[in-house]
Amino acid sequence: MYNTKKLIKNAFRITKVRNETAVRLRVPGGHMDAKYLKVIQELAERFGNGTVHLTTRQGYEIPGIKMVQMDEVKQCMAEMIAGIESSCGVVLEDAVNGYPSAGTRNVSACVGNRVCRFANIDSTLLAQKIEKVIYPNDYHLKVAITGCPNDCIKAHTQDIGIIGSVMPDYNEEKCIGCEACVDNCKKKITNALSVENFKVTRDEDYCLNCGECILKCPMGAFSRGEKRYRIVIGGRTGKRNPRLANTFIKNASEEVVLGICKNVYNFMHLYIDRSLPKEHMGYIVDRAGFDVFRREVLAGVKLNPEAKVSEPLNPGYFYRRRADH
Amino acid sequence: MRLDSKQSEAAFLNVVKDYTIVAPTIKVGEGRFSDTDIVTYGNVESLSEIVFDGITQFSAKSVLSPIRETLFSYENNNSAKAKDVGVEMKPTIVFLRACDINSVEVLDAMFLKNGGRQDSYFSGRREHVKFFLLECQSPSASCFCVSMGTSTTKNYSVFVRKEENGYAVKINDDAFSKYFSHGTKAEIEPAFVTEDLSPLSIPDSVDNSLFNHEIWKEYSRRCIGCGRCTVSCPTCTCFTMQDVPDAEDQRKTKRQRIWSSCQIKKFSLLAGNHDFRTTNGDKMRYKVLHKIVDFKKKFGFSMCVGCGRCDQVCPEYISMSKCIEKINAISVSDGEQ
Amino acid sequence: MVSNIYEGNEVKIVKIHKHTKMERTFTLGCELVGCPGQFVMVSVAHAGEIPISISGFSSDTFEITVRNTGKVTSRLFEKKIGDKVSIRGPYGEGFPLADFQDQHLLVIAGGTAVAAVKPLIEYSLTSNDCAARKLDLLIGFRSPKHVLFKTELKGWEKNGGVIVTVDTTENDDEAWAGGIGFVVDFVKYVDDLGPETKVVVIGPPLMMTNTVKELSRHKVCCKNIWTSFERHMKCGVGKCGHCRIRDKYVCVDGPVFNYVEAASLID
Repeated sequence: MYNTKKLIKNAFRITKVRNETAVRLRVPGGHMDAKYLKVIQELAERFGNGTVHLTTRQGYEIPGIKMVQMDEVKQCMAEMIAGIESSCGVVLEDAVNGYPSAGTRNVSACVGNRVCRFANIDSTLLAQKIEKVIYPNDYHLKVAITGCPNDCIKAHTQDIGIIGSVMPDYNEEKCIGCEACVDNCKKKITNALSVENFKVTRDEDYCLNCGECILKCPMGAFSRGEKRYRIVIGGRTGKRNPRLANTFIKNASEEVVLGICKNVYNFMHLYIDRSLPKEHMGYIVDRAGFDVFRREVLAGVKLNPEAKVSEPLNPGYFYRRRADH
Repeated sequence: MRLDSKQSEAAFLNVVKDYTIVAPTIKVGEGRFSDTDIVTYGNVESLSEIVFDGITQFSAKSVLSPIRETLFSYENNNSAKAKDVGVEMKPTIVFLRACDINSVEVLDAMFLKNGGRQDSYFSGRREHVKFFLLECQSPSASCFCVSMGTSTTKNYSVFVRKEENGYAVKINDDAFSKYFSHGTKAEIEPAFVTEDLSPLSIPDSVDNSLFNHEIWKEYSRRCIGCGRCTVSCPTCTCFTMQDVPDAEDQRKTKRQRIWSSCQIKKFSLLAGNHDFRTTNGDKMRYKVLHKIVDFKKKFGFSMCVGCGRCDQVCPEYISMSKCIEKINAISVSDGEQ
Repeated sequence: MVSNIYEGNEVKIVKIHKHTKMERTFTLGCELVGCPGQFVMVSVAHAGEIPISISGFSSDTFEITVRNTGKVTSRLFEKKIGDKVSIRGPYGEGFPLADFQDQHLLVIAGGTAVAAVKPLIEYSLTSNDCAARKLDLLIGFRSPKHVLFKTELKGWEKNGGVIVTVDTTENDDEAWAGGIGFVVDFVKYVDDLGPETKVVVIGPPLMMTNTVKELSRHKVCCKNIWTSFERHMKCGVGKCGHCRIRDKYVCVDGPVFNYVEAASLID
């Protein structure tokens, strides 16, 4: 009666009530025009049970939809999903038939520098650019963008997390030696700064490029240089082997970020375990090996000079697993 | 005089040949926060770079008192004798509002009068600097120059107003007439603010009981002691002196004077670790009373010129004018008792 | 042409006396015309400049007594006889010598601060015209090994009442025959204290506050008490702003203040 595989691919869900579904709406970067809320309200009230769930990935999920009405729902939401996707540069050729794929999850993002003082980047904008590179795609992949190492979006729990960072420029001629940057870095961050003879030095090995020294400096002696990104990979939750992501590349340029996001699908395509309904990227890296991952995702990617590639991932932790019997 | 855009820029090009021009300008992407700009003082080379409205983040005081100024140099490890570096400066024009022009009197009082002797580095710069006036058609939300008596000035060489199709200038200093001779004659007068949005009364003196008043405890809780209020202030002049190794040649040392601030750590710290002001409320009290009472007692006029920068730059939204209101309320009620 | 107020004169170190591990007196080879209570800015090349009170005057030399607590002082301690330092000053208002003439003068000093009153004591003992009628000294140190100017103290004892006390003798190997306790506890042993006694109190902030309280219990008039302020100073000439208290600059208006004024100067 219903092709569940197709239904799922269209971002509908098999729910616990037979013949009842829910639809998930993508909001790449978690930021959209308020006008779409009217459409969401209409969908929920006309087809659903009058409620809306805010998903952990910053989408909207409208529950209580009768499967029989799925085509009407697709019609009703076509203009909205095409509009939201086109703001990312993604063209949905056939929006009246709903989303073309749901494997690659909504690219979520913190509020970013549109609002937040700590953010080093426009997180939403980068999420939208990544959406353009990776969507639509059936491989299950979770990507999230956060504006600074506070990591409010929990980029460390994603297959690929992007953490906005900045190269701080220090101008000794503007520094009054108040040590606000040094004290703050020592107390709150990694103690990467030190001061001697009224001059601040920054230990790049320890610096997170979080930009707090820029925020703290009353003089503007620390100012914003290039925007850079920390790419963390292999974060995951789940029932087997959860772990926080590890730094893969520090201080990558936007081109590197986009290049890697694109290449990761080749890697998954080559090494995924097809006996499983889906496999998280991190497990594939674990099986194929970090070196293989690095080779595949960096193929054709020109690393910017400041970019530093890190070493293999931590193992995470395993739920206690009973021995085979 | 009135000059159209073309005439003005041509005139300005000639001024630029003879002077360094420092004026409010927009620095794109140089804000503290990501993807933000700031309006602050900087060198400009055309009139179009000048921002004629709004408050700059920093004042122009660094022209007269650089953030880090080398006073002496030691040539090598063994030299005990310091060499006076002196002042080298091209004649400079600074575009200032009335409050900021009046703020220069405070700098003069400190560097030229206090202690009975002149600071040769300051006086060396001072004589190279001319002021061009920027007018204020209306007060901004945080400023209170009328209350401080600093809303007007005659102490400027040229007044420049940006108009729809060019610029209007009033020349007070004949040395500048030659640059603007191509314009059409017109009587131009600058506008000055005549009423603050929130007028303040300033107490003449304060009772010592104010020192332990509850209001400072509030500031201890709110203020983070970052010093933004003082480094942006056009009248704060405190500095430290440090011997700093030359970046290029470690055998050489420079004796630098570097801006300091009563709000930052170690300002009042003695060798042996005794500190005379440890809470941020005490630091706030020390600063505010200097601005409105203590300096005036010594020099006869207020230090604060009401430019409103400290209010604008405070990350904790602490307001100088609100603080003055509080002090005044306390002083008035004490007087009634 | 305005002269440079930050420019010092090079002077030779002609003598170094080691009082304790931490304190030394440097005798500098040039004449300095100044008044007891004044200070000089001492500059050590490549290290920086600090204010130090003058601890002695003579016809062709003067002395500074230094406690080794920071970057400049530690570099100064590396200097040997014959090495040069740079000096500016003397600066500030010293003690009001005329007010002490023919009066009973009590000088109370704690720790290194004794260096700042040493010229006053020496002046009072040697000057013919403006000397005090009677001079009493009450000087406190942390422990016997912290005692400074041992030779001078002996000399002063010949000429007036001298009480030397130490806070404690614990953890100290040196023999001690003087008083034990804070100076404030020894004020009562000074003879003839009264409203007209002129008193100079100098030392750590807490010691000064407590001692002034004790003096008022002995009926000493506030207007007859003087003190000397130690404050963070970078220039010594009223420019850097560090030593300002209200409308006063300690480097210019002080460091010596009458207590009536000092009490109103809240940092």
